[in-house]
Amino acid sequence: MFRLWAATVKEIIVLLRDRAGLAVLFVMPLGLVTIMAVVQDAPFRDYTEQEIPVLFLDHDGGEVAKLVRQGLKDSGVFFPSDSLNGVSVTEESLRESVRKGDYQLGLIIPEGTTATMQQKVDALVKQTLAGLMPNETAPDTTSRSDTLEIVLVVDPTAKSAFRTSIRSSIGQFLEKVESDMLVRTFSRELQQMTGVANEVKLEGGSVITIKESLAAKTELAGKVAGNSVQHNVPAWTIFAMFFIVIPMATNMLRERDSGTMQRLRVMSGSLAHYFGGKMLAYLLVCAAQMLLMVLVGMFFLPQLGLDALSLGAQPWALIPAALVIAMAAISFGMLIGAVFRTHQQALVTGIVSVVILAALGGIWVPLQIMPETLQVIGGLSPLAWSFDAFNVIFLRGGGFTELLPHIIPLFCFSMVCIVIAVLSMRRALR
Amino acid sequence: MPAAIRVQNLFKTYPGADTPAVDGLSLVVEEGRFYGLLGPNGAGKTTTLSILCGLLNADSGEAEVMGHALPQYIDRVKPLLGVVPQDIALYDTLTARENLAFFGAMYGIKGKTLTQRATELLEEFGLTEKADKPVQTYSGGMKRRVNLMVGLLHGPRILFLDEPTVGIDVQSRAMINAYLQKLNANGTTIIYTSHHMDEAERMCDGIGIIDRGKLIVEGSPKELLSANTDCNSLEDIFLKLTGKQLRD
Repeated sequence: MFRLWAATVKEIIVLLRDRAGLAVLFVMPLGLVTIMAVVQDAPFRDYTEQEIPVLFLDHDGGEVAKLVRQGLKDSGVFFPSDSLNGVSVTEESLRESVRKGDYQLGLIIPEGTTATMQQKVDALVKQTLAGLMPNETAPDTTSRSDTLEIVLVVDPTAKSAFRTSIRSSIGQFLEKVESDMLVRTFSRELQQMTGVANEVKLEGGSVITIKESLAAKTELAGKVAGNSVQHNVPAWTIFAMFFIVIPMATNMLRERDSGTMQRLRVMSGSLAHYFGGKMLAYLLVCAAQMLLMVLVGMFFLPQLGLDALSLGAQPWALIPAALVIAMAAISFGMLIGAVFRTHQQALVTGIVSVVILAALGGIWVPLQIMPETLQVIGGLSPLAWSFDAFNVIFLRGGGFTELLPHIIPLFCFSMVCIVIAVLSMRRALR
Repeated sequence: MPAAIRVQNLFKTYPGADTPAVDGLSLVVEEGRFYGLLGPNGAGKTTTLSILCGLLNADSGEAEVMGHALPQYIDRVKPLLGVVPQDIALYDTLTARENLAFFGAMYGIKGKTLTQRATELLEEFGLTEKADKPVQTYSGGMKRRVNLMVGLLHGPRILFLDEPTVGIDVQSRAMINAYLQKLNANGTTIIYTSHHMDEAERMCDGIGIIDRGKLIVEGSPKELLSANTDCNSLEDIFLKLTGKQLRD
């Protein structure tokens, strides 16, 4: 046991004196998590959390334009403006500003919109009430061609999801305007028919509203939605852990080249002490990485205006998750260090493989938005399994039982890596 | 004296090689000897030592260390052996003391015994003052001394030295050689390979010259010189027996 302890202490000292290695393991992920969390904050937020200025061109001057403008203002998201640098907006200036990207959106309400809508509503109401008045002939509303289009001018760089959301929001304003108009017209017509004055009040919200509930395991976890911090902290922690491949492979090759490996082989200690010492030392490194990243997520990123990291409902489950992820990362480093014969081979393969596995594993962008084929390939990446394991805790509120389906493959992956590493090392030393 | 090393008809060919590295080598080295295993590059010295310390398995033949057959009883042999490789096999970012502590622990030495042994060796080899500096800051001679100290930590009964004084200053070489002679006088068997013929002639009480994997001559330096009256030194004998042709 004390041989294992000595090997672990040696490994820690070697690592602590390797400044470049320490920078790779700690400074790089800190930089990455901070930059990526800030950069990805906006895309992670729903568009409704942003303030979107809208150029508003009113050719109508009627109730519809007034209500749409009010609806945009009331949304708290859209800020309609009908002037550009103090000059009233025109259709040309509106289109040019949006084309250049100065504005993301422009809205053109054509002339006669209110009148057209009112005509349609009147016809509908009269058709409906015609049944109550035997002498009246119902107007035909099926063949009307006097429809108008409100034009939504959108920045060409806007994403499809953004355009769909905006169109849906504007559509909702128009439906509300139309239904208000319908109710008022009915009220007016009925008043004329019956002679009874009954003013309809349209204030108040909908009877049926939508309540969003995240499908997390517990109420506490259900309050944590996926955001830039919840994505980036676990993602870059995993990336940092797997980047252990660099110091690990470098040290292993140095040991082989310098003859220290041969020297160890003629001593009574075995390869188990050698690999065991590395495993324990780097587990401590991974624990330090994890702690650092969590602290950054909880206390530093909020200082930059981002959300604070939430550890989920069962934060203790981070311990087995981090342990198995770290084991997988360390074993992968051992594999690279044992299989390759030169520093260059090991470093290039190590770095490139971790970057590719990270990209495919959803570390940079969530796996769900990748093409189906890439999702299948990405599902084979141990970094994807690691990320799923962390998400079980950070977002889904799961505990150890929910973790098992994710950490068992990781554990098997590390066992396979270790076996190959030991066999390769034995072969290399012969 | 009982045999410290006994090798009988040993063969070893590396995969892909046309000729064997060790070609039917037979050799006996008694306990307490200071034995020089000499030969040109590629003669089979390092391969023979590697088989004797368990790094390689022979293709055929028999090898014994202190009566323990190899490779079956390598675990019994390892604690008896001290191996000093030709390479500076140290962690260069660790200090001399840290290297000694680590390798000592790997030899199975614990706690105070290890600290005391490391301190003794550091004093013996004049490295006490620099003991806590990283090895990468040392001169070549200092590194060689630490390289030797690691092989001596556990007080081995047999010491294998592969070119222990190559590329170092005269003072370091003199210190190392003096220590090795003292060690041998205290009963440690030393098997030593070197290209310094004068050093081998002066220090060894037994010399074996091997070439192309075979033992071509054996005896004490005196015996070898008596048998080769046309030669003035061990180096002359070496060149006479192995030729002047360059070896890679």
